[in-house]
Amino acid sequence: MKKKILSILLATTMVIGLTACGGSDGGSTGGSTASSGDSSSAPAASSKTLADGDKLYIYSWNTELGDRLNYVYDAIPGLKEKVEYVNVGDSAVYQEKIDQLLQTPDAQDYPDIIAFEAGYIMKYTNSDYTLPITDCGLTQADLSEMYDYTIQIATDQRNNTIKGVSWQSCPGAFMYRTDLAESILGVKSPEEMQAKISTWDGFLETAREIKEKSGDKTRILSANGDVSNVFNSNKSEPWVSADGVFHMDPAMLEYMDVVKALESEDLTQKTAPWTDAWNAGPSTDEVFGYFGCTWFLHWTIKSNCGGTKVGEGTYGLWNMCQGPASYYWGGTWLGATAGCADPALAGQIMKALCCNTEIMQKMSEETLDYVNNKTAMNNLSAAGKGAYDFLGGQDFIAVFQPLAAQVDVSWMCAYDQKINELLDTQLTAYSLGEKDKDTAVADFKAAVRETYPNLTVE
Amino acid sequence: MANKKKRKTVEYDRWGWFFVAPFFIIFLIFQLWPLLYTFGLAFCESWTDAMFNLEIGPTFYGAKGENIFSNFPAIFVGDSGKLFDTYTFKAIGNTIIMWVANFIPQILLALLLAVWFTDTRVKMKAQGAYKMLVFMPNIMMAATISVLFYKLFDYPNGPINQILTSWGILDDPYRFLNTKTATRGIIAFINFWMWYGNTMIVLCAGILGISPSLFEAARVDGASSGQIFRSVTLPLLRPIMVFTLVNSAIGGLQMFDIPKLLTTSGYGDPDYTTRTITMYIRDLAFTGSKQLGKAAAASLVLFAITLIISLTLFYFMRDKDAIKERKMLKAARKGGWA
Repeated sequence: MKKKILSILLATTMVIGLTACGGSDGGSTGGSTASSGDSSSAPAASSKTLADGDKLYIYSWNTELGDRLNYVYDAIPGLKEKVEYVNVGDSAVYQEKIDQLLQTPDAQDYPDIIAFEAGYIMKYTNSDYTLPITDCGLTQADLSEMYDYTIQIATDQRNNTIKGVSWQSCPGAFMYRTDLAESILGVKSPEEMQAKISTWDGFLETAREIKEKSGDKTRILSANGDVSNVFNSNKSEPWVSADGVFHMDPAMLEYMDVVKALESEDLTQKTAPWTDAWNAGPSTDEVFGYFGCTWFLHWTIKSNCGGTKVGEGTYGLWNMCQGPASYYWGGTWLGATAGCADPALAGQIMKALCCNTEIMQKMSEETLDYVNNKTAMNNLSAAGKGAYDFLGGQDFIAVFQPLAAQVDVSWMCAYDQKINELLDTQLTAYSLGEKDKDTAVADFKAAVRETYPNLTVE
Repeated sequence: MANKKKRKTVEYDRWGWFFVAPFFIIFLIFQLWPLLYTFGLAFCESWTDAMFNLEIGPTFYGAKGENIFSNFPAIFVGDSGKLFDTYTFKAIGNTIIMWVANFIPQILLALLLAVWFTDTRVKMKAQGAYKMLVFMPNIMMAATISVLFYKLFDYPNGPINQILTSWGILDDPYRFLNTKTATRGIIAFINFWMWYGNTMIVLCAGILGISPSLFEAARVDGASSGQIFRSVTLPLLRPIMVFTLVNSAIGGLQMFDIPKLLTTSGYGDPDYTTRTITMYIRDLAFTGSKQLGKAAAASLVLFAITLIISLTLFYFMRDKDAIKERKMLKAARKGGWA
C-alpha cells in the first residue's frame, strides 16, 4: 500500500517534471497568440456592454483620480454604482501589478480603464493592450480643447492612433520665495527673477549669490535632483530612437555638470526629493525655491508651507517664473484596455473627465488643478479666478498658459523612467566624487545595455 | 476478497497519508513546479521589448536551432571580456561580503550567550527575560526594521547624524547610505542583530543536548571554564554548528528584503554595491526588458553556488576524529581476527 502511493507520487513528480519543459513553450505560444487575437478583435469589442451586476474596473496608484471621478459621477447619474475604483496605493509597484492583470482578460478584476503616468505611458499605448479612443466613441473634435502635447504622448507610435486622454496639463515653472528674493537678491518681480535665472549659468551664479549673501543660511534648491525634470524635458532626441539606438544627449551631460556643481559647491540643502527634510523646506527660510509644475504648486509647496492663509507660515510669499528652460512634469492619462468590458461606457467617462469644458472648468475652479482644456482655462483667467493668494496675488493661470502651449514632447520614449533611474545612480556616484564623468557615463551605458540587451548602445 | 476478510482491526495507517497530503500537494504546485519551470526557462529565450511592450518567448533555444546555453555567457563574461566581471557576479560578491560580515559576529556572540545561559555553575537569573529580549528583533518584520534604519541614518538630518554632529564626533553630516562600506555595514548589522537571538536558541538546545555528566566529570578533574568550552562543548556542538552555518549561508545568499528596502532607489545604492543576487534576479525578471530567461539562468548559477558553498562547509566541518576511528576499526577488522 505504502509502496504503491509512493510510486504514484514519484511518477506524478516525474510526469510534472517532463511536462514542465514542454509546457513552457506550449503555454507561452498560446498566450502570445491570445494577446494578438485580442488586438485583431478589438474593433468588434467596442460593441460589448457591461453585464448587469458587473463593474467597470478603473486602476490607479493614488486617490487623485478617484476624487476627480466624483465630478463625472455627478454629471452621469447611475454611473457610480457601475464603477469600481481600485487604488493600488504605491506607484512603485503599479506597473508590475497592471502588467500581471493585463495577462488575465477573463478575471473579474481585469482592468477596464487604466491610469498612466508620463514616464511609462508609451509602454502601454505602443502595445496591443490598449484601445484607440475612437473605439470608445471619442472623436477628433472631442480633443480640440486639449494641449497638443497631451495628445502626442498618448499616441501609438506604430500607427498614430490616439489611445489615451488626460484631464490635466502640467507645465512646470520655478517657484521661489518673494521675501527671500527681495532680502537676499534685491529682486522685486518675477520678470527680474526670470532675467537672473534664464540660463543654467545664470542659475548657478544666482545659487552662489544666495548662498553667500544669506550667510550660508539659504540654498537655492532643497535637493540636487530637483533639476532633473527640467533637463529630462530638454533633450534634443529621445533616449532611444525608433530603430532601437540609444542616444546620450548633450543636455544630459550638462545635467551631470550642473548637479556636480550644485553638490561640490554646496549650493543645495542636499536632501533627496520627497523625503521629510525636503518636504519641510517650504516652511523654512532654508530653501529659496523649487522646480515645480501645476499640481506641485498645490499638492507639495502649498501643503508644506506651514500655513493655510496669508500670514501663516510662508503662505502668500511665493511667486513663479519660467526658469532656465520650459518643461513639463507628470500628469495622468486614462486609457481603455483591449479587453475592456464596456468601451462605450469607458469612453463616456473619459469624455466627461477629459473633454467636457463645463465639468473641467468646475473641477479647475474647485481644485485649482490646471485642466487640459484651453477654453476652460481662458474662461477662468478672464474671470479673474487665476489670482492666487498663495502666490501673493500672482495669476497662476497666466503663468502656466504660455508654458503649456510651449511644451514639446518629442524627446519622450517608452524607456524614459527606467533609463532615468539608471542615470541617477551614476549621477549620484559622480556628483559625490566616487568616479569621474567618463567612468560614470561608461557605467551608465553598461547599465542600459544590461537592462535592455536588445538596444544598440555605443 | 481475501484481503478484506483478513482485516479485523481498524486501519489507521492511511490517515497518516491524508495528513501529509496537503503538504505534498502544496509543495508540488508551489515549489517543485516553479523550480522545474525555472530550470526550463533558463534555456529559453524570454524577454519583453520595452518599446512596444511585446513579450518575446519563452521559446526553447534548441527549438530555434540556437545554442541552448545562450542565456549563460552574459552571466559569466562581462562587456570588458573578463570572466566574472558581470553584474551577476558583483551581486553574488556583495551578498557574500554582507553575509560574512554578519555571520562572524553573530556566531561569536550567540556562542558566548549560549554558554552563559546553559552553564550549570553560573545559573543566571531571569534567563527567560534575557532570551526573550535577545530574540525580539527576530519577531519584527525585516521591512519595518529596514525602514527604521533608513530613517535613523537619513542624510542630512537623521537622528544618527544629529547625534554625531552635536557630540562633535563628526563635523558635517555623513552620507551613510551613499557610502559603500557604511551601507554594507548597516545591512550586515541588521542581519546580525535580527538573527543572533535565533542562533543562540539553537546553540542553547545543542549544548543542553550534551550529557551533563561530561561537564561534571571535567569539572571534577579540575578543568577551567575555558578548557571545558574548548574540549567538551565545542567538539560536541559541531553537528549543531554545521547546521547553523549551512542554514545561515543558504539564508544569507537569499538575502533580499533588508537591502531592498534600506536604500532609496531599491536597486542596491550606492552604485549597485549592496545589490544582492536575489535583488538582481528580481531586477532582471521584472524591470527593464524583463529578461526572464537570463534571470532563470542567474537563478541556476545561484543554485550551483549555494550547493558548492554548502558542500564545502559540510566537508570542512566534518567530524574528522569519527572518520578516523571508523577507518581504524575497519582496518583492524580486516587485518585482525576476522
